[in-house]
Amino acid sequence: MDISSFKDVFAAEARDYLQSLNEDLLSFEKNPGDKETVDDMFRAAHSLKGMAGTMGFDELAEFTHEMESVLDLLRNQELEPTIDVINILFRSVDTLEILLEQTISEEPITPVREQIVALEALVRKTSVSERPDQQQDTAPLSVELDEFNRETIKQAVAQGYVALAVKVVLRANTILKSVRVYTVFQAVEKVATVIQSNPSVQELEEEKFDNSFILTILTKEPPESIQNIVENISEIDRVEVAVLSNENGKQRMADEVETAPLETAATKKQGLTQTGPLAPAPVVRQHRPEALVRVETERLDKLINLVGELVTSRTQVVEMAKGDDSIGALDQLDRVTTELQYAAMSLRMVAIKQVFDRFPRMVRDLAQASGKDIDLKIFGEMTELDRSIVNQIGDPLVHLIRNSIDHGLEPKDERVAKSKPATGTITLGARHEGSHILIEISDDGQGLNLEKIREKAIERGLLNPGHGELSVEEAGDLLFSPGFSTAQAVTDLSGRGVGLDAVKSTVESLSGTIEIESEPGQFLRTIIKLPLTLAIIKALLVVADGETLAIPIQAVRENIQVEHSQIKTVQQHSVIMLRNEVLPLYDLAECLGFEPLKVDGPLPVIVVEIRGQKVGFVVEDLIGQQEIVIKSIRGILNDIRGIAGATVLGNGTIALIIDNSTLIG
Amino acid sequence: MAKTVLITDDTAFMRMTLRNVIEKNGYDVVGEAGDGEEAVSLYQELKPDMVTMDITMPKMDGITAIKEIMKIDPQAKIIVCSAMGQKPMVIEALSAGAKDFLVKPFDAERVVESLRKIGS
Repeated sequence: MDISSFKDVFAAEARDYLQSLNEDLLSFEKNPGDKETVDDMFRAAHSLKGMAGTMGFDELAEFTHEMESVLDLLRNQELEPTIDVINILFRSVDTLEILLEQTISEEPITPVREQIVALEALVRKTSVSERPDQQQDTAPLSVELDEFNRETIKQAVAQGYVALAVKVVLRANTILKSVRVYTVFQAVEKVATVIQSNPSVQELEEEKFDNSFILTILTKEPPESIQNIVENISEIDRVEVAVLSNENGKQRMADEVETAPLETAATKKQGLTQTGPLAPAPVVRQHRPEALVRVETERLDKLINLVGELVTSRTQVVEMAKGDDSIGALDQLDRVTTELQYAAMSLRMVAIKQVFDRFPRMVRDLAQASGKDIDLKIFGEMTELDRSIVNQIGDPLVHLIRNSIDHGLEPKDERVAKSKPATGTITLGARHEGSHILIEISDDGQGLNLEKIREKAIERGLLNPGHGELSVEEAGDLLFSPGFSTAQAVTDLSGRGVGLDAVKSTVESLSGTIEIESEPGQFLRTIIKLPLTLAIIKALLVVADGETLAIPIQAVRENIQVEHSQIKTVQQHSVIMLRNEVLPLYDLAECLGFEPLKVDGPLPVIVVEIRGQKVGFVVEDLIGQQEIVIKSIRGILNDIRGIAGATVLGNGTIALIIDNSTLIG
Repeated sequence: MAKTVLITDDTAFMRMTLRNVIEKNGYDVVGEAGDGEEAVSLYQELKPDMVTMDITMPKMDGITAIKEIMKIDPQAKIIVCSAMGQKPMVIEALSAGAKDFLVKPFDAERVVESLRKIGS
């Protein structure tokens, strides 16, 4: 079957299973007795195997099969969950991840033999003792009926029954032959009594037969009907039915019986009729949110875009209808579209869980590598924020958490000496605050070493020699400046002298801010504040050279009126004194290459903070504050300095959105 | 009129591949269930001619679901779907009333054969 078109679905779902395997493994390590977790993991491996097999991803199917076998042993408590076993499973999940990604991207597959061998070794350890002795007895090939059955047939025939021999040939590629035999028995026994089977039932159960077997049955049905019934079972190659002569009970088909070659496979005995009691239906933890639909992100974006347009035209219509009788009907339209807008926006929102989910595993591995005991506490993982932000916030968080492990938390003995708990704690959390989300990473390690930061900053020329003691705030600012690192040794984990400034610039590119709080010797807390969404922002609308422009409100500090007389010139640049600080002034129109402003009266000035520096933009007029939907500008107009995008205003005009960070300098 | 089929499997991927094969061969997939509970309730609602039933599923496994459906409709035509190595479960499912079984990875011809034979 052609299933290549399902690869995306396969990939998405397989990654989900991988993630849940990882999570389950972590909780299993903490609580090895938990049967539900093992059941969950087993199901995940099992489902992955089935999916991979269907896609024809043999390596993946084989690998998951081995994992499944080990998990099955754990599930049945035939294998002790030792640290070795758990570590092998962790590594297997890693291998699986690599294998999966290589398979999906159709890259050459890295051999996974080694990991398979490790898994197989676990299975072998437990199964050696259970392997049944290989049985070498031969199948009875005689089709002769014994005395007892001959007598049975005689009596049955007297009561109007017919004795039939039914030869059933299974297709050569039949899977689970014994189960197929079982379905034949099931079907036949509805209308007949099976008095003999060649080979014997037990041999059929153990699949010790080639592809055919003969049943001797008593029935009142005509032979053709029996033939039909058996032929209507799946995987049957052909069926022959013959009436047995009742004189001697010999089968007429005796000459057709083939010598059934023995299968010497030491398959575990599994009785057809005496199947073991089934495990009770597992109680399943509901960690997977139900009723989810996967939608391509492109389609979502399109929907949101259209909703944005709808909202705009609604505003137009409402404005046109002002003072008109139809305003009542338009109220309804207004309300519905507003709700639609919020509903559409909510589609972009995803829980930050999908970022946080990777950290328990990461912290575990880094803790092991660094020899520190670390407890990771996570809160607020269901806090939602814009998908595009979620996609970008992962790396900065990885960096901050690595820093906490590497530089923040002290080695065990040092902690004990300071009478701190030997196990260090890292807390990762998220919460909403107004139209922002706050993400907090804190550790109870040594906090900021203000003195060391001061020395380093002087050494790097970031501070003047002889600079006095630093405040926590100043130290934080220094940490985030380019090229600053206090790592004593470059480790595997962090400390290559790049990073924190990259963290800061990522956060700022998401219109966010980053702050550090610390009590030296006690804790370090980093707080990242991000807008909930990047699609709708609050903006201040201003006019420059007749054009309406939108300045994101985030960066705006205040609006002031400036008289011409207040403007001074310092090094050929206009400045004013604002509360004893020098505020450089720029003409917004001029910055954008418009006609410079020529006004006699007082000038409206917007004070904006750019990279920690306040500057004033002189504008022609100030319209007010408004929520705007950001539309990116694509194609040749992409990347214009000073412009972040555009938006359509209620009255239908287009306003460019100012990008503060690239406007000047 | 085309025979109707209800697909039961906990992975969307398996449901999709099955649906693909089944629909290509002139059957009408009227519903998809992600677990046993859903299969039972959809069976009552949709009254499909045939049901495919995965065994290992959350909430309610396939065997329990087969038993529940057989209680509701003793004539129900259910095909149990299993992976290699689930033999005892398949037998349990068959004795609970499943009419045929399929083994993953599915072979399209086998799926169609099963539907044809069970549906007749």
